[in-house]
Amino acid sequence: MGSTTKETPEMIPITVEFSGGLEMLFSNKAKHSISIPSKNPTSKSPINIGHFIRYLVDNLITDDRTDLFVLEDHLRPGILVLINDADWELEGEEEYEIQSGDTILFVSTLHGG
Amino acid sequence: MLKVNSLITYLQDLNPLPTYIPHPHRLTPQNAADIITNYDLVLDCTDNAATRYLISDICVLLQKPLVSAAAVQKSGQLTVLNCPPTPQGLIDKPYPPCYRCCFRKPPPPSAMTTCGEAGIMSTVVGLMGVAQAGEAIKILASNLHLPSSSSSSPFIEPNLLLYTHDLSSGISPFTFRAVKMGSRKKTCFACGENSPSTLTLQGIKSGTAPNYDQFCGLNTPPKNLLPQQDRISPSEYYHALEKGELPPHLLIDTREKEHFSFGSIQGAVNLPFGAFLSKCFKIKKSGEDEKGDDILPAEAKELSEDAPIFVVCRRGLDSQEAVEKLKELGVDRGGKRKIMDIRGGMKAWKEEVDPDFQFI
Repeated sequence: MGSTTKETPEMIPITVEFSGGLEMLFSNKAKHSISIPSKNPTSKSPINIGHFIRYLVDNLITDDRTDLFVLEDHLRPGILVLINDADWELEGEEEYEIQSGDTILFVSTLHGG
Repeated sequence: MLKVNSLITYLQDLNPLPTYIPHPHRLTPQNAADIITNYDLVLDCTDNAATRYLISDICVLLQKPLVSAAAVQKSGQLTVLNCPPTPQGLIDKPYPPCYRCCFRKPPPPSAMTTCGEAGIMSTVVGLMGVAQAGEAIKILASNLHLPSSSSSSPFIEPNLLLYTHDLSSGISPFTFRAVKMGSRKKTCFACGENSPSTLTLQGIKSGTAPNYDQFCGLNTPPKNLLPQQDRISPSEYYHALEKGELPPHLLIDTREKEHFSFGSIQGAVNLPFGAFLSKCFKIKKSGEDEKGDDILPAEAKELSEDAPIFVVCRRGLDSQEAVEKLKELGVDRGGKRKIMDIRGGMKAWKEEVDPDFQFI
């Protein structure tokens, strides 16, 4: 308020987990406790799952095969997103605004048997 | 012996009282409805996406509940679908989902892992199978397999059970995790609002709507990434080696270490594809800090700078990609150093050179 100093983005702690083989794209680690900016840097709107998926590709992925995670700027088919143990479709899919302390799990669907 | 007969022999030993009926055919869009119509409940234990979508669609149309279990490597998934079965197109209140409601589109073929390739932990399949049988008994014992059109039928919160046999898994410290799934989707192709016009038994049987192979990307021809001059057949490689026509060279095998440990071409050095790609990624990101040659195994240092490199994998796809990546990193010294793909991988090696090789 009245201050002219540039604000540092507010960060929120979350847990992101990968399962069903996706962990190999993220330093082979299934569970990451990370802090992410609370707002989308361009639109300044609260960060949602859509932004967060892009954030993961820019910041957390450790493998060239990004097409195993995103295709045409969206999550690739065959990956379930679970927000606090509920299918993301119950929460608004890409539009869901991430809250501090959320657990977001990405699971690739299995077809083997 | 066919798997189905082997299974029945085993089951009869375990319990001789039930009647076991073998269907010794591949399930196809043409025969699926005629088979499934005779049963009250379906357990999906199949191993590919196209069959899973087919089974679910038929279960929707014939109003059969479906207990679907899948397992690969160290992970398993289990879910009860279409239970109790409700007619297509009803959306006035929450109804149970079908397979397509939960998994709208299959992953691209490149992202689908099979048990043959990735391996499978037997206890994972065992657990998923027992859990699946448990769900089936529950459904039958509570008459939930009977089609319901009345609005009084119970709505059971759909769940997906995830299991991972891994101490360091995302699901730990609890290796089981049940997650909440959505109910029938209004827009579902198979059971949603307009589904009676999009999915019919006739459409499935005629093979046109839907076309399962196409939907799952199975019609796309295998990639042929590399030009012919960058490829050599296993027998060409073997004969050149036998005749002493090959200079000292590096032979890289990009299969995972488990596959490699079962046998490999003499002199091959293992550089698993996953690790190879992460290393590529690191080198590219670091810019100048690391040289392209850092990607090569230590054995490369014992050879001359321009010693040729051959790359082999399991079936001949990863190796082509690896050759491309090596060139991108400048390991080919602008063309001075030959980098070649051994065409068709260890599968072709077995067919052309060594029939005793244990191809897994």
